[in-house]
Amino acid sequence: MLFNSYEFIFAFLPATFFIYFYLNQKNLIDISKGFLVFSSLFFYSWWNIVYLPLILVSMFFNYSIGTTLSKYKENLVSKKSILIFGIICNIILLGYFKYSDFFIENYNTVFNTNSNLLNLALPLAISFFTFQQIAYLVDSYRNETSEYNFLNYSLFVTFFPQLIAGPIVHHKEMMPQFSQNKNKSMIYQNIATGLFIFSIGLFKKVIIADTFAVWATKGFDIATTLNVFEAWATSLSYTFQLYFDFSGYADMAIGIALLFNIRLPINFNSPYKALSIQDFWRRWHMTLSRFLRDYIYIPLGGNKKGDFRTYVNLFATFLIGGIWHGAGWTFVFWGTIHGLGIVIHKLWNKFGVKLWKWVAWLLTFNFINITWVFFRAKEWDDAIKVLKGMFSLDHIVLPQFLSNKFLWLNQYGIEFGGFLYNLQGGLNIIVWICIGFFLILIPKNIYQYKFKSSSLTLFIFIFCFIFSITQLDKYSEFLYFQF
Amino acid sequence: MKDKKWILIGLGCSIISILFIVLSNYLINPNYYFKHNIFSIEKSNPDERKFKTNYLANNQSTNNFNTILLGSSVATYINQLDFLNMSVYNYAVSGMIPQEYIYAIDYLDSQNSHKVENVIIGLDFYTSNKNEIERISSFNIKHYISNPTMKYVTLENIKFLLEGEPLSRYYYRWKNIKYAIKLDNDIIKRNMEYSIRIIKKELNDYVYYLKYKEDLFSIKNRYKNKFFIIFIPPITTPLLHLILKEHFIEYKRWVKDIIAVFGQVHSFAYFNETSNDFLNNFQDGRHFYPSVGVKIAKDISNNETKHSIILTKDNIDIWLRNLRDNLK
Repeated sequence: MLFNSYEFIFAFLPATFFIYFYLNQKNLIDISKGFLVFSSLFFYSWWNIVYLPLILVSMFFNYSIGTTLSKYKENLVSKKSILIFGIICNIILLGYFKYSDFFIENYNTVFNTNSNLLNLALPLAISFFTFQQIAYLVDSYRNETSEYNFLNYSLFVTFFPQLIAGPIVHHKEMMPQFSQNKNKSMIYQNIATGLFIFSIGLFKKVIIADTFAVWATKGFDIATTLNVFEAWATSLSYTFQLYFDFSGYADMAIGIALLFNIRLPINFNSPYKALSIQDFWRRWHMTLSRFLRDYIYIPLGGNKKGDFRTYVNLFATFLIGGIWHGAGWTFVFWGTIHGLGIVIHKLWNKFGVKLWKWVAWLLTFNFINITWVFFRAKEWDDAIKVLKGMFSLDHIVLPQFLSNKFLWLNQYGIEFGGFLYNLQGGLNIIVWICIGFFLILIPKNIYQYKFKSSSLTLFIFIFCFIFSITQLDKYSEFLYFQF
Repeated sequence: MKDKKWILIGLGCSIISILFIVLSNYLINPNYYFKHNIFSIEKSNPDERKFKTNYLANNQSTNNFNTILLGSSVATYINQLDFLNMSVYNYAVSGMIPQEYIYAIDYLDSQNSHKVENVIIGLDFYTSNKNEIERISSFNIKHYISNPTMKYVTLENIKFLLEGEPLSRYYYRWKNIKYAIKLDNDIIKRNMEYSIRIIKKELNDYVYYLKYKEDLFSIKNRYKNKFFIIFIPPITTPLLHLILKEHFIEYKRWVKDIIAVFGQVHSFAYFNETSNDFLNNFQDGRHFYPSVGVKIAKDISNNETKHSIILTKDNIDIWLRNLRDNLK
């Protein structure tokens, strides 16, 4: 079920909300939690019930390993071996569904064989719930988990607002909230704030991201060649689409959770305002960065083993981050250049050279924008097509209305006509890209505002909600569902 | 303001507004979503894939067609009632490509009182352009058939009112019939210039779709019990001239592929009185007036050649040679 669907907004969410609080009001606390787990699994199964057993087995398995680890007294098998066993099982599960075809394809290419692909459908949310549970296992090994009961654990893994595409939550921030008594009754302030944030997220997704999506798709997937304007419009469209899509989803998740008095961690903090690549990763998909830092970078040694090891650790962490996003060489390459980018940034800092703020922003933004091309492209050729268009001056087309004054440019191979013809969006694209820049750079992040029940917030809520609802007929999934 | 009040007003206003939109959508009925036609409003510039699909669904009990007409926006100007001895449903839509035909035929069969017997297809040259097929494929009619339309809560009615008559150059009335307003000559000339610019772009980007014949064969083989009538719609002389000049070899291959699959094709696209006198017969480079559509319907219904020529493997080479000679 999509957050931006009628069935979710008008049926699932209100029904779950009222039944949950009704059960709590009747003091049926465990039943209300059980109901929330059931609703979340129903929400998960809406796409494809086939994968329901998978998430259930994963949950039982990790809970058993986790409780074993937290109570374990050293015996024949070391505690570390149990942890490694648990992590390997999770990685095998993820690897089987997500990476087997990638390995088979490459094996076929390298050894010139013809092994059949498995053509497995990627179970929804597997990357997210696997990471959350690996964190739980590691913390159980470190004796940092309390004795959670299975019901609370199930709720931590399946809680529907964050189940499908994060934020990647940590048991330490979720479990206590599920147990607190004050969260068992409706809190109007949370409901108003939740509705407000949800409507902003819905607007970001349905109105902004889906508008950019059309041009990004045309540029990446349909056009065979792109002139310089089309190529930049394509890459910027995707850069904006991805941000508004993913942060819109995160806003909706945070808003919905708040209706149930649960505070999810913030996942975005105006990332395109970043002044360095390191700054960007502190603002973009913050819960993934936190996971990678705590469970990969620090265990590898972090910055405690000298400069060289720090750079290697950083590079490895980003490479893993790239692979986590998808099974393809474009993702590997994307992770690699981000890893290299952060190493270069560290070296740069070491020399103490300061850049003007606007130069730092321009460099960072363009680095992000260009590297997203690899992230988005389905094939290498698509990425090359877009990059070639962006940086080649062989194919420049200017708007027709400039032909009167600048016709002499013809002699230099510059044409006049539909300068955004392949994207079929005309001047709309320019206007929307300007809007995109304004939104990412000027307003403060929504979480920097303290929500107040005022006429202004009321107007914004009604406008965003109604306008988005009327545009839901364009079926579109969230980009991060595929990861 | 208190939080509770904020919530009540916010949700209350939202629900009332949404109910208003639902009611107005129902009454105005912009894309034939509902069966009624309370206000008898003319539909200008609608989403043809959407309303032609909805029209079938809403008239399921009375649909009684024996023929389906498929094709691009030019074929939409053929009045389905102008065909003789045939009960035709005009399912032509803007930018239709052969990859959509199966979905359209199956859907009409499923919504009709019986399976259709005849399939009339208007084929345009762009349907053989690999790049154009890729560009258009995202609008595939199957999307409208497989996804139930979100008919209650859309802003289409408001858009419809804002874009409504009499500004649009064409409009729909009930019974799925499209009308066009006669344009001034100056506007037609401007439209013609625009058409030439666009088609030049398309032709620069032209790559023959190598599976064209194979795709047409698979459509024909899938419906062995249906009778296929294929035609090439008329086009203005300047545009035909441009296409043949730029891509004569591909044009030749295209017509021959069609004949190889269907045996014959009614071609209305050649240099003649209708294509030369484009100010009276066409709205722009490609789109003719419904009066031309009447001629097409009659020729096809009677298997006549008053305004067309029937091309077969026996006469295609001579005809193509004549066409090329006319270019000189």
